[in-house]
Amino acid sequence: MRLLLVEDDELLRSSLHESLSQAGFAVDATGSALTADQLAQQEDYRLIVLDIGLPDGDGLQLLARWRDAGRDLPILLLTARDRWQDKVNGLKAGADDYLTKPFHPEELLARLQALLRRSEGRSHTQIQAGNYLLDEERQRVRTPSGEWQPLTGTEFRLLRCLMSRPNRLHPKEALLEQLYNLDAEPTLNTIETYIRRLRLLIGRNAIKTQRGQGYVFTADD
Amino acid sequence: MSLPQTTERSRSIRTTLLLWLLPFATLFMLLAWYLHGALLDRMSRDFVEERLQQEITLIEQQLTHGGGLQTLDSGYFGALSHHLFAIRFGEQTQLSHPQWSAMLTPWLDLPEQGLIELHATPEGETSAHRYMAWRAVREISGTPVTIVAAEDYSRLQAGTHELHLWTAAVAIGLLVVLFALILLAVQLSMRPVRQLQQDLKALKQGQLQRLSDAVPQEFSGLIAQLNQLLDTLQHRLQKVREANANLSHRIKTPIAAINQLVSSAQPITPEARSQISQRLDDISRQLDSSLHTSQSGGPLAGASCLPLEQARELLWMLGRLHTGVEFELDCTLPDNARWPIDEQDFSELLGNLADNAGKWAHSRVRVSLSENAQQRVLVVQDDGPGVPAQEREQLGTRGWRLDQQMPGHGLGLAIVRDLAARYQGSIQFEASELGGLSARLQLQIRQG
Repeated sequence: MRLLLVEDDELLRSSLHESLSQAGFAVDATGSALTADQLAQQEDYRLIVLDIGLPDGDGLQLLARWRDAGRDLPILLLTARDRWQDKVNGLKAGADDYLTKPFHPEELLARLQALLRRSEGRSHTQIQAGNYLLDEERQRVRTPSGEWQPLTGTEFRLLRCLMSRPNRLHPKEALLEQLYNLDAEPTLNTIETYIRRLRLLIGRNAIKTQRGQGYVFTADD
Repeated sequence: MSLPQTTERSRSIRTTLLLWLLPFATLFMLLAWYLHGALLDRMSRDFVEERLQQEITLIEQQLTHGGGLQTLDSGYFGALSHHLFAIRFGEQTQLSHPQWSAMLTPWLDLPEQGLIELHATPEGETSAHRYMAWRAVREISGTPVTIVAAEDYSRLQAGTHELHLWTAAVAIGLLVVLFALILLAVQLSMRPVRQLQQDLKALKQGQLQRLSDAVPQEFSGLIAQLNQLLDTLQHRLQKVREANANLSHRIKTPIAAINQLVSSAQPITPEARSQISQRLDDISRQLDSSLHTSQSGGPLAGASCLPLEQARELLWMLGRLHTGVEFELDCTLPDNARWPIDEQDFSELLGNLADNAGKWAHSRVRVSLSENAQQRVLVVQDDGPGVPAQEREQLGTRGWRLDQQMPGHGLGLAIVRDLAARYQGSIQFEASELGGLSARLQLQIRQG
């Protein structure tokens, strides 16, 4: 199973190379963003372990570029930065997991195995409605401007419901079912709050209100 | 740290005051001066008119009771020499100044009655004079009488003109005094600012610890805020120093131990290896703890976060990392609500609570954000196994680690407790309606 390891600290790279090889991976290791980019384009890897702080480039940019080019393999970020916002940025750029240094090799292996299991079972479903694309695996939506917006659970379920049948009327009562995870008795008011928030995220015109009846997702925009 | 770009310098208070006050004062003075002139002119006209009327009444009485024109000889007019008279009694004509008959005689035949304004040049003079005249036509004992009394208005005007010029001079003098007063006032009121400047300089050079609060009332708020800022900085500096001292004390010992092991001639046994690994873990934990303490912004003026936006992103991120656990956000805040909490501190608070909940939850974590007039509330609940009531008190306190059995650093709840205390908030752990633990963080809203 081929794995690309991008890490600029030589000691860490060589020891990780060794333990990953022992765990059964065929490892290519590099410390440069440029080489990593070339390797990722030429070779067919199953996994990438990527350090964010590289001497000749930003790991996050590299990651975003790969994702834009449609590379869909699991990628785990390695970094010494452990602020929450760094993690958010890493995952927004398209990472599947995030490990802060220092870590134990066993932990890295466990995470990689988990990533592999996830990626094997994944059917990477996406829902397209007009210029909107809903990514079910990463729970996010791409607006016509090309921007990915992360969605929380209820936002995601509501939008999936609306986008799965575009241009059709969804009564408020039917949408209420998507709120089962919230309070014991979700109200129609809660639906309105979520619809307003969704509109802020994906634009005003995508979700139209049918007075007194419900909502319609307008695909052609 | 880079200096903020210097903004365009605004005008000095002195210039602003002068630019605003001087044109207004000048305009006002000009207006007053003009009014003064107009009033003066009207007053002297009224005065002349009244006097001329009196003269004519006097002459009428003389003509009626004195019995003829001859009573009005040059002696009579001599007493009133600054006035000119022309009288026609029947066919006879009498002039007060016979030498100016060419000027005076035509006035008797003018069409108007009452007050007339005339321009004429008396014989022997070169320039025209301005006269105010009163012409009356009467009948005395059956004889038609025409009386013209006039006064040389030019002479009177010359007098009022001089008075008017003097007024202008006084007005200009007043303007100069006003100008000087403005400068003086600015100078006086700027004295505390200069004192403040000196204090700040002394502060920078370390001669002062705080700014003097013996300042005028207008500045006391400013000084109090500056002093508060200074105290905060001082406090923080002290904490950072203490933390650094503690940190270096705590990690130097394990480093020395590892060094000793690595550099000894004996081969590294499996026990030694595990000891090294343990010591390194200790060092890493100490670093983490110290970093989190020093990274916290704390409740500083100007700190604010967008709780809804940050919570959405954090929960989305945690949902990606904890597969199989759904993170729900239940938020009653307006979309653009701001909380006066440093962004990073809010991330730490919510991130640690929600991450911890995610580690223990079976399938659900629910985060609620709300606020009312008194407090802001953040509740994180999970459907995990929960914590027995007697152990909840100790969550996040030193010496007890909730997530000892889970991977990752075991600092989360301690950080939350520490941060909550910094913001004078309280944290309570209860049983959740979802079945697991509920962490409730309350931050009081300071009034005023």
